[in-house]
Parts: sequence; C-alpha cells; structure tokens
Amino acid sequence: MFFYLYDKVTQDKKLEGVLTQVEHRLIDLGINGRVEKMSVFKNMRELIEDAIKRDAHTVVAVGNDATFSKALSAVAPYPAVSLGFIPMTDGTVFGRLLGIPSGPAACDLLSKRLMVQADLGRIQKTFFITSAEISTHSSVSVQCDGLYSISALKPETPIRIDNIGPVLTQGIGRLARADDGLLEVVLTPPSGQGRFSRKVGEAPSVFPVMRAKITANESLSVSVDGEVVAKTPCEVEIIPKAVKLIVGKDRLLR
Amino acid sequence: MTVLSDLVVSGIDNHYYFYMFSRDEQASPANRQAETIIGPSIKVEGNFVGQGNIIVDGAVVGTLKTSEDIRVGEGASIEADVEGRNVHVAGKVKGNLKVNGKLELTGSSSISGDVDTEVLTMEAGAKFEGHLMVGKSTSKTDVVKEK
Repeated sequence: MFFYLYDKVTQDKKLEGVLTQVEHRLIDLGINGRVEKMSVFKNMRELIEDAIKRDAHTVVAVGNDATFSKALSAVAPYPAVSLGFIPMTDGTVFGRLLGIPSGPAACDLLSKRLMVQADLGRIQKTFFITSAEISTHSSVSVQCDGLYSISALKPETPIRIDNIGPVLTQGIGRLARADDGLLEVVLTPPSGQGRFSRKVGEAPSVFPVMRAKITANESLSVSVDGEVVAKTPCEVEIIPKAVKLIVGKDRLLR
Repeated sequence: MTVLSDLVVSGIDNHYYFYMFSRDEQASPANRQAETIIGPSIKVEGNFVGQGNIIVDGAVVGTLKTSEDIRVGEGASIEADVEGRNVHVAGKVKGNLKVNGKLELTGSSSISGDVDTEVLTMEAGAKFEGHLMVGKSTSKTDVVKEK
C-alpha cells in the first residue's frame, strides 16, 4: 500500500492546481493510496509509524526538502519500507539529488520504482542523509571508531559529520557517496587574514569513520539540516544501506 | 604501483587543496577509496588505521597505518610508527617506517627511527637517524647520523 504524507506546503492556494494534477496522475498509474495531511495537531513520525503498522510498503513525502528530510528520519527504523518524494515546486535539493522532477512528473518515477539503498547517519533517534553540525567551541574533541581522537589546535574550528554532505545548508557541492558505509568527520579551521588583507584559508581536514563520539567541556548543540537534534556528549554512527529510496535515472546520489 | 605524480586541484568549501594521486584513481568516484586529510592545525592521537590514501600536514601521535599511500607534508610532525604502500615524506617523522613500495624523502624531511622499504629515494638535505633496510635483500645498512 502506498501512503502519501502531504506537508503543510501543499495547502498553499498557489499549489492547488499542481496537487490536483498529482492526484489524478497517481490514480491513472494505479498507485494511489492512503493520504494524510499534516497539521499543527499531527506529528509526522506518528503518522508514518501508524501507516507502516497498517501495512504501508511505500511512504511518499509530498512537499519540500524539509518534508523529505523529516520523513526520512521516520522511515529509517523500518528497512523494508521504501521512501519516495513528490516535490511540489521546482528547485528542491532532494529532487535534484534523487533525480525527481516536481509535480505530476514525479508520479511516473514512483510507479517505475527505481531504487537505491542509501546509508544513513544516526544520532540517538535521528537519522540523516546529509550532515550533522556541531556548534563551534575550542574544547570539542572527536573520538573515531574507538581508535583515535581528533582535536583542532585553532579555536572555534567548525566540525561537521557528513554522510553525503551539507546539501541543504551549503548547497550541492562535493557529494560523498551514499553507499560507502562511511561518514566523514570534516574540520574546517577558520580563515585568517593574509598580509594584503586577503582571507587565507586552510584546507579542510577529512576523516572517514564508521562511528564518532563527540565530547566537549560544555554541552554543545548538534544539529541536522538546521534543527538541533542532540547535545554533546553524543555518538554518531553510520547505518549502512539503511533506507530504500525511489529515484530517477538522472539522480546525483550514488 | 601507484605513482604519486599528477597534481589535481580540487575545490571544497571555498578552499583549495592538492591531490597527489594518479589520474586513474582520481577519475572514477566508483573506484576512489576513502581518503584522509589531516590539516596543519589538526592533531590526531591514537591508533590510526586507514583504508585509503592519507595526507598529513598536521600532528599525529601513536600509529599511522594504511594499505594505500601516505604523503607527509613539510609542516607535518609525526610521532608514530608509520606503515603504507608508497610513502612520501617532506616533514618530520619520529618512529619506525615500514613501506611496502617506495619511500621518498625530500630535502626537508627528517626521520628518526628504523626504516624498512622496498625502494628508497632520498634528496640532498634529508635527515635520517636509525637502521635502514632496502629491497628484499636481508642485508642491513646502518646509518647512525647523516646530515
């Protein structure tokens, strides 16, 4: 059974026509299913879990990048369930990554069910495909795979833990693989001032790991896609092939 | 054997750094193994065992080991036993080196420890203190101090 989760953005009057076209196309393709619309009183995770208990084999997030990101975290504990996406507007980052066009054209890709299995990072109960960022502080230390620790000699060095990279906060630049079974701990020391007032930057340091424990002298925030999900000390780990994603052939995700 | 030859400039996070890897390894994302980059202001302590190439421009204390290639930059400081396939050293290493392929020591390098390598190249100015074993031969060459 298909389960369609309509995010609040679908209730925008400007998108009414697009939504109607999407629903008609789903019926034409024979992949219409149960629909739930998000509201202030409804929790996305609970709706998805309820649908899965009622034998939904495919969850489809209908909305924007935030919709897909939250649905991903809710579907991840259920590896047998596939996750699809119908972007309601052009220009979504996940639409581009997954090779899925916006509107009714996305429905055709849903029916083809071309899938990839992607790794996910996990911090406590939150799963992420993009990146986790730790608020900068001079005392942050990262223990990697229980074997070695990393520390930055320059204060206020930003630390990220990438799965495919910070595509939502920093755009699609260099993409790491989503199926290599590894996270990347990335430290980018702050730029200094050069002799002629030009900013001189140090290259980022990159460490491929499977598990990273983050500690600091104070309790620091750890955020995913701009949302705080945990506080230090905390552990981040890779869950290999954690989720099945429905994709298009023009995807950037590998 | 991978030749550390071609320079490839890559941009990431608005900064640029250089990959000293062969074009074959750089071209295909499918074939590229995970690589580690330890920048100048980063310190690593413990038992580091990597699977891909390693570039060190910072400080490492403990053990540094990979089945692939290692490049030690001029400003790097390593107090660790090092093991790799091909190793290029331009900085300071205090510890034993085991190199399964080629060890290159530049004029700015400084090694204090025993070295076991198949092939060795050493530029004028390189500093070395320790025991040296080169090639499959069991003969050992003692080098106490060379400046």
